[in-house]
Parts: sequence; C-alpha cells; structure tokens
Amino acid sequence: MSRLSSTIEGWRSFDSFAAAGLISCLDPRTIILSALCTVIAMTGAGKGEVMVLLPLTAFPLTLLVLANIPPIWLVKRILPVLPFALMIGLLNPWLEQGTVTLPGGAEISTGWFTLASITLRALISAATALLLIASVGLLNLSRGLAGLKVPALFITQLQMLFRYFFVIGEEFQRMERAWRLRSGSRRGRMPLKLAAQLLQNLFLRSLARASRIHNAMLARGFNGEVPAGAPLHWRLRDTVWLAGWAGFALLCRFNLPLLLGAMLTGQPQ
Amino acid sequence: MSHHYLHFNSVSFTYPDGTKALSEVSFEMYHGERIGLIGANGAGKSTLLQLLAGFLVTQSGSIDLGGLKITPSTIAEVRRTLGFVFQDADDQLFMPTVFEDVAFGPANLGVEEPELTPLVLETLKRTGIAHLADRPPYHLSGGQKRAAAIATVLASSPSMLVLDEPANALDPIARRRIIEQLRGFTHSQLIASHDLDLVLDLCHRVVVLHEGKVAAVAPPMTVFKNKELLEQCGLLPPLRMQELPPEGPQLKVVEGHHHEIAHHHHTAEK
Amino acid sequence: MHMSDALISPEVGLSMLAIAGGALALSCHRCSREIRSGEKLSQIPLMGVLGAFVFAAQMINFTIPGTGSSGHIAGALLLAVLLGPAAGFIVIASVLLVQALLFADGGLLAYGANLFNMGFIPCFLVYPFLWRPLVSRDSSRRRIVTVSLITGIIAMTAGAFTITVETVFSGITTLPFFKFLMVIVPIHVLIGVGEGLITASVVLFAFSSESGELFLDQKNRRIGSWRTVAAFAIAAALLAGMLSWFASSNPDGLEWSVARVESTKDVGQQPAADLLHQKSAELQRSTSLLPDYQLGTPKSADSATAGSVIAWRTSAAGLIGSALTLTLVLLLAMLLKTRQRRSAVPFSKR
Repeated sequence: MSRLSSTIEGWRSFDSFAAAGLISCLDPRTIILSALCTVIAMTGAGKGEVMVLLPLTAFPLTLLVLANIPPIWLVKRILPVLPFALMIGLLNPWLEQGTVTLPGGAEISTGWFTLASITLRALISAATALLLIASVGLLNLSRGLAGLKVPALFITQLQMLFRYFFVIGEEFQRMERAWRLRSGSRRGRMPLKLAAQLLQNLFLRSLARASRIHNAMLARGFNGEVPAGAPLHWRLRDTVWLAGWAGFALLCRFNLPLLLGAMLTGQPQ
Repeated sequence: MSHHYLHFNSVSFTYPDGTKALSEVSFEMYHGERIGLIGANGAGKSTLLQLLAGFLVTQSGSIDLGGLKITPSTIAEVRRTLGFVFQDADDQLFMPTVFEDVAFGPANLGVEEPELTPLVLETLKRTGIAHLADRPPYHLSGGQKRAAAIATVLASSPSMLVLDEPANALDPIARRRIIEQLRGFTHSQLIASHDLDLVLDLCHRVVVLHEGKVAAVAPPMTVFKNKELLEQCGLLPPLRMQELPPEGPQLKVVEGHHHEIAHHHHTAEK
Repeated sequence: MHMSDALISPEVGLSMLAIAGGALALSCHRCSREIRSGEKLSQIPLMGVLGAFVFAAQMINFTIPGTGSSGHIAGALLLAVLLGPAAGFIVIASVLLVQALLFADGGLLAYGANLFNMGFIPCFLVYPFLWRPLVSRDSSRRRIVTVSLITGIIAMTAGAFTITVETVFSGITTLPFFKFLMVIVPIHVLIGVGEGLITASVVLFAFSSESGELFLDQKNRRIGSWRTVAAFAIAAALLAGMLSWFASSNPDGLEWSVARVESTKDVGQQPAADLLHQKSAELQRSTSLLPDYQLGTPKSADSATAGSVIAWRTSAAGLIGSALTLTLVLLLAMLLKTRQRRSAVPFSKR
C-alpha cells in the first residue's frame, strides 16, 4: 500500500477512536492544554535526564487506556518517527567526553544517557501528539483550538483541510494506482516528470473543485463569515483534569519521583 | 407578476473561449411543477443551471424567478428562494459535520440560535438523517451524502429546488429513496438528469436541450415516445420503455469459456 | 526535515511558537479582512482545497533528477506563489499542524519551530524578497523555472540551517555545529531541487490554465511594499532579540556550539568556559529543587566522575520513584476506565 493510501486509512481510524471513551466527556481544550503541559515539562528536563522523564509517560498511557486505543496501533505509528531523533542522538556516546561510573565499576560515556533521554523524549512526544488527536478527534480538536482563541480563519482552514483531504486524496489515490498498475512498480518512486504531470492534473481538478465549493457556498448565502460551531462547556471535571496534569508535570519537572523514591528507600537527600 | 413561477426568455450564453452554450432558450415553469431538463453531454444543461443560480451572468434575454429578474444585483435575493443541489455532494457538504452544514444556509440568512437548532433538527428529521447530525461528511455513504445535501438546501426553506443529477452514482435503493423524497416535496423542481427513468417517474414536463437550443417542451411520455426527436438529440428512451424480451436479455456464451458453458448447461437442464 | 520535540528546549520551543504564532495571527487577521470585505470570497475554499492538494502531494515520492535519491515536496513556496504570503502561510500552517498530530512529525512544542522553518522562511522571506522580485520583470517560462529552482534550494537550505541552530541552542543533544551543517546542507540542496522543479511546473501550469486569472493578481502584484519590509524587519528584530536573550540565559547551548566543534580541546580547562559553567551552575541551582541531582548533566569530565557515585545512588531512588509514580497514575486511569465502561454508550448506538 502506498503512503497516500495508508494515510487515508489511518486518518479514518483516528476518528473512530475519538467518539468513544471517557476522553470524549472532557472539553477538548483540557486535553490540548494538558498535553502541552506534559510536553513542556518533558522538554524542560536537562540534557541526559532519564529519570525525570519516565513518569511523564503516564500522560500518553492514560490517554491510551481511557480512549480504548489498541497499543499495537500506537506502536505502529510511533516507529516511523524514531529514526530522526535516534540518528541525532546516536552521535552523543562518541561526542561527549564526560563519563559515568556504573554500579559494577564500568565507565561509560554520558552520551549514552543523552541518547536514552532523547529516545524517551521522542517516544513521549510522539505518543502524546498521536494520542491527543486519536482521543479527541479531528473535529473536536479544531473546536478546542477555536475555544483557545486560535483565529477563526485558521480553524476554518483546518476543517477544510480535514474535509477535502479525503476527497482530493482519493482522487489522487486513483491516479497513483493507475500509474502503479501500469508501471509494475509497487512501492517505487515516480520519475520527476511524471510526478509533475500528475500534480498538474490533480491541481486542475482541485481548482475546479474549489470553484464548485465556492458556488455551493454562494448558493447558500455565504457572505464571508463562516458560522462558528457549537460553544464548548468547561466543567469542574475539566478543571480537575487540567490542574491534575499540570501539577503532575510540574512535580515531574522538579523531580517528584526522586523525592518519592528517596522517601521509600530511606536515603537522605 | 406572471402566473408562471420561472420564465426563461430567449436566454443566450457564450463562454469567453467562444463556445456557444445556449442560444435563445425559452420555457416557463408553473408553481409546484417538476420539470426534467434532459439532453446529451454538452447540450447546455449545466450552463442553464449556472445561469439560474447566478454563477454565470446572462448575456442576452432574461430569466424571471417569482416575478424577479435575475441580475447580479438581485442574485442574493434570488438565492434565498432557490435551493441548488449540486451533482457532487462533496462540493455541497463543506462544513465539518452534517449539522453545521445544514445550519450554514439559515445562519447566513440571519436565523439565530434559539431558532436555529430546532430548525436544523427538524430538517434532518424530514430528510430521514437525524441520526447523522454529528457525523463528518466523509463518514457518510453516497445515499446519506445526497440526503444531507438536500437537507442543507431545505433548511433555508426555498420555494424552488434545482437539482443536478440527483441520483447520480447511487445504489438502487438509495436512488429509489431520493425519488420518493422528491415526489413528496411541494416545491417547484427543475431536475437536470441523464437518468430518464427518474425523469419519467418524477416530472410533469420535460425540456429537451440540443446543442444549446430547446428541442422540445412536453410531457415525458410524449417526448420519450418520439423516437425521431430522441435520436436527433442523441438520447435513448428510458430503459423501462425500451423493448426487452419478457425473460430478460439472452446473452450468448462465448466458446472456450468452459465455466460459463457448464453453467449454461446446468440452467438448461433445469 | 522536521525539528523534533525530542531535541528542543522549552525556551527555544516557546519562542519559536510565539514568533510563528504571531505571524499566523497577523496573516489570519489580514486574510479575514480581505474575505469579509467580499474582495476574495473564493479564498476560503481555494485555501482549503489547495491545503488538501499539498498534503496529498507530499506523499508522492519522486526521483530527483541527476541523483539516485528521492524526495517529496514541502509546498510552502508553491502556496506562497499561488495564494500570496499570508494565505500561503495559513495553509502551510494547517498542513504542518496536521502532520504534527497525525504523523507525530516534530511534535506539539516543536510546531512553532517547524512552522518557522518550513512556512515562515519560504512564505515571508524567500517568496517576497527573492521569488517575486526575480520573476516580476520577466515571467518567461525559463525564468520561472530557474528562479523556482534557485529559491526552492534556498528555502530548503535555510530551513536546514535554522533546524541546526534551533537544535544547538536547545542543547538537548551534542551536535558539532559546522560538521552537522556539512552533512545536512547537501541533502537539503537535493530536496530543494525537487521542490523547485515541482513548484515551477505547477506554477507555470496555474498561470497558463483557464483558471489562471485566479492567480493573475498574485502574479502582477506590486513587489516589496513598505509594509512587508517593515513586518520583515520587526520579525527579524524579534528573532534576534529572542536569540540573544536566550543566549545570555542559557550559556550551555552557546558554549558548545562554539567549543564542541574543536573537540580535541578540553572545554573545562578554558577560563572563559569556566565562567560560563559557573553561571550555568548558579542558574541550575536557582531553578532546581534538588541541586545534587545531576545524573547525566556533568559540566565537564571532572565533575562527572566526582558526581557519578552520588548520581547513581540518587538515580536508584529515581528509578523506584518513577516506577511508583507511573503505577499510581496508571492505576487511577484503570479505575476511571472501569467506571466508564459501566456508563459509556457505544458511538454507533448514539
């Protein structure tokens, strides 16, 4: 299956999770803000930190559990994201000069901790982004953003993009499939000239589509103002959820796990 | 005010590239009438619809709708009374959910919130898609999309519907449902279609276009029985009126297709 | 290439988010005014559909001529040429946001940085200051192809450069600045070739097609108005301000961008670097509740060895604590889930 086809399939799957589950009872703004808190706390951890990051995985895991998303779905989507961060991170064990003595007495480069830290960061951030959209859904996400005072035109643009990706994407898919069937290539790349022709063709169709949509809007009295969707309701549970996760992120930022662990193992600070 | 609801008065239109799409088109339509607009590809059907909706501007002649002449200055008012259902429902359903799409028209006409939601829900119920209100359009089937597209138009309570291929690419049951639905409406309807069976089922009269000219305006049976006219305009009678043997078409089996031959023998033995 | 949450610091991430978000808000303000005035009613569907077009087009892998490699378009330059900088920027912003969420390309905090690298640079710098002036006098076929090719390469390379700068300033990974640039720039030159050629082919097609008049005012628009120049100057000043503020508040990042490249020298021994270390250590002490906790953040080889024993004792505690916190949170989630199961109604039955 081509990247385009798998994206169309994948995009549909995002919407199917969002409808069910506890997350749909919360205001989308709550989820967006708590995800941001988590990511900011994560990026705030110092270079090479691993322990501080570990508890932050609780946020994406909670979303995973509450939104009933199959873990394998998440794994499949996270894997393609890792290579870039790993590529950058892998240099560290050789570039860094500092060493750390392990309990057994062996000395290793601090770079390994940097690498581990980067990998963990990549996992947490990818999981948070994917689960944010999977648990909230495209539509509610855009409503949440509107509720967070993101300009109305951008929200409309986002919704139009969601809406017409399926239409344009499927037109594209048919053309691409026709090329694949004739070229005999299953995953191959397209020669530039052919790609350009394909895009020109698709561009023309897209323009025609845009002008038909414009007509449809005019026919129903469009005057430049796209009506906003239903207003959102912030409830007590939203405050509790956001305060909880923001507090948790803050505690993680200031090494809560260490405090807890020290208390348990009876070690002095 | 005339007793006609819609009046095309020798309307002509030529595209900038010189293609003459319509010449001297005249016909009229009565209140509550359903008119079928038929003709081969390129006969001028869609140009005619676009002129009516004001997407194109009449170059000569005039179009009157409910006593109002359609011009760029009256078009906003004209569109209040005209419900335009596009051929591709994807063009019509541009909002994120069915509910918001249905609300788009009335909201632009100034209907505000205490009244808007009940109006939308009522319209959805009337078109039988109340359960789809919160769905995004890309999660709808072809028939559901078509029903939603019709709902978006009905919500603005137009007095006339203009439909471009209302049953295009629908499965037989969805097609049947749409036909029943349109028959139930009291609006004047102008239906452009290649589906002549649908036209036969629904329309009081038919306008036949041929190369931009009106070739005939008559009741459907009169038009469809006139083989000479149909042939001249590049049309065929509705399937229902084509002469078929009562047991269906006899397809011959091509030699060498063993499977089909076996099947043939089997049915013959029966 | 996307900047990643894994490599960005909150200072860099939030500053870039502020810059890109500000540019987005201004663009939206400007465009919605045009749309409301009725001047460009067709802009909304056009932007939406072209966004979908670019998003789909990004998934087509094509071979870059003259090399064995393949690439796909980013599309911002194309959008800027077709729709103008402001509308083009809004569209590419929507595309990048969807990428950040659907493919986890980059991440939430890095969105600002990515929007800057892949949207702001092509739309507000490359297009108005290079593409348009270069094409306005002579818009022949050959000219458009050449200019698109060159500006495509410039836009891509500039984006690669800012990624490197952002990564270095964030200081999450050790990155030899110049060596890294040596690797990353040639790759982006190649990607830029594909970007430029595809942009040219679609732009030429758009200008010559029947719907060309849609874009004609874009093509003929006066170049480099004072307002654009002013906006550019303000953005540049803002960026410079942020960077210098950041540089002074986070000497760590600067330190190794300068020092690490010469990897043979021992950084810890240099007096200047020592001063920086002291400062950064002070900073760390003032922001951290647990100053002793320094696993993996040794400032030099010496302090690392000295601190390693303490680091390991504390990290054992950290590990246990982490596991405990995680378990507690997950237990809570499970509890909520069982409650939810009793009350939830499946979507299909709503």
